[in-house]
Amino acid sequence: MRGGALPPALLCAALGLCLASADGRAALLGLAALVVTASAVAIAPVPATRSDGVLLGCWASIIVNAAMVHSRRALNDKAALALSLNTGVWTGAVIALAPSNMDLLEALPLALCAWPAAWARRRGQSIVLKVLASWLIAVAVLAATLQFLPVTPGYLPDHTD
Amino acid sequence: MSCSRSLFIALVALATGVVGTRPGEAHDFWVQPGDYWVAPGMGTSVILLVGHGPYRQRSPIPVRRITRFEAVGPRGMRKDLRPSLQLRRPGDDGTVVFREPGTYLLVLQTDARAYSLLPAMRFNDYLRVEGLTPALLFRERAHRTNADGSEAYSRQAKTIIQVGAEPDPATPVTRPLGLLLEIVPEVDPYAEPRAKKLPVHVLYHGRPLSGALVKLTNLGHDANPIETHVTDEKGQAVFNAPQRGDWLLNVIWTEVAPASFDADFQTTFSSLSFGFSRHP
Repeated sequence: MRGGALPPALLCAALGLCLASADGRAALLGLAALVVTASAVAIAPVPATRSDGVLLGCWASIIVNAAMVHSRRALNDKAALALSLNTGVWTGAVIALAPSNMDLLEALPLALCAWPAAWARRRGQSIVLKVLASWLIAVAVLAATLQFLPVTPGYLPDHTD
Repeated sequence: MSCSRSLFIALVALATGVVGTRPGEAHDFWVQPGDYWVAPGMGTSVILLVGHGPYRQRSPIPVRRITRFEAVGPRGMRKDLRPSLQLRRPGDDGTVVFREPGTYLLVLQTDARAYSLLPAMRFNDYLRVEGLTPALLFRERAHRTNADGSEAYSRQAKTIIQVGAEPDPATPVTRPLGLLLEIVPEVDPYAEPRAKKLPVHVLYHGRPLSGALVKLTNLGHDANPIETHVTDEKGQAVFNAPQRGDWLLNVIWTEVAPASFDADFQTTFSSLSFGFSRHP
């Protein structure tokens, strides 16, 4: 949960779920904005000292994206673009801190879940998307909270300082 | 299924995974030079590493916590190398250069401001695996085996670098260098002819430490140590002397912290790394 491809992959998946309610053209534009922004930020020199803040931004963005899935209203064009740009920034920033920029290729395709999600939504199966979004929110809340707990979580090695 | 219910299930599943999985022993710290054997005047990179196997990583320690980083060389020569440290630059944590031939020890000490808080089960397990029996007994006597365990800890690391191919008759390797917890070989692992045994003694506050678990790990396959021994009443442990590859000796010791401390224990991690793989 500390960097690598997983947090940005979850973030891209959350964006895909929330773009499912956007107009098709807006979703396409959003995905393009995501790819361009994430690729640009991923090659930027992000200081390693900012890793905690970057991860927090990533988890917070997952929560925002996934929360939008629960909205009764469809995502408008401006909101779709704004969320895509925000997702691109945090995806790129986490990848910039990862050992390899190639992790981007593992994360970005998750945003393509927008198409099957839109299909499910059209068939009146929005509950499936809401369950997935709730799971993403739970993961993000827990991961963000663990950053601030003094106790070493079970999945992390101890005595690393 | 309602959203709140699915959220609850996901949280429980994730929390179970978080407390139910546990990385292996991953807390040893050492200094690893790019080359253990170098020619005079040639530089070698150094990397500060922590953890073994899949958990091996560059140490995130900030430079302000490093209180000593020096080379101890032939004829008692000492050189402060802290200006050479450039932590977390791509590829390494700095470069050191030795002009005079001989055997050198790189010595690194940190302050004791690192802090660890582990859940009770994991802390008890860690104490058991690392042979920190006095701490286990203390927790049993104090009926605190079910309490989380906290430590303030420091790092003490040495690495042996041979400059030039000639063995050094006045090697500093077999002399203690005043570390809080220190592994001191009784023979130089680089001396010719190579010894079959590698006896070491462990000093804590400059005095022999008995009952400490010393581990010898092949850094080429470092998920588990190759050989472990508990020091005798003279603080001595005897290992089979490695003849090739890169190696790490390490020991951990802890004592109950004063009541004024935020932590339960004060722990010291000490290591000695050496290697033959770059023999010229």
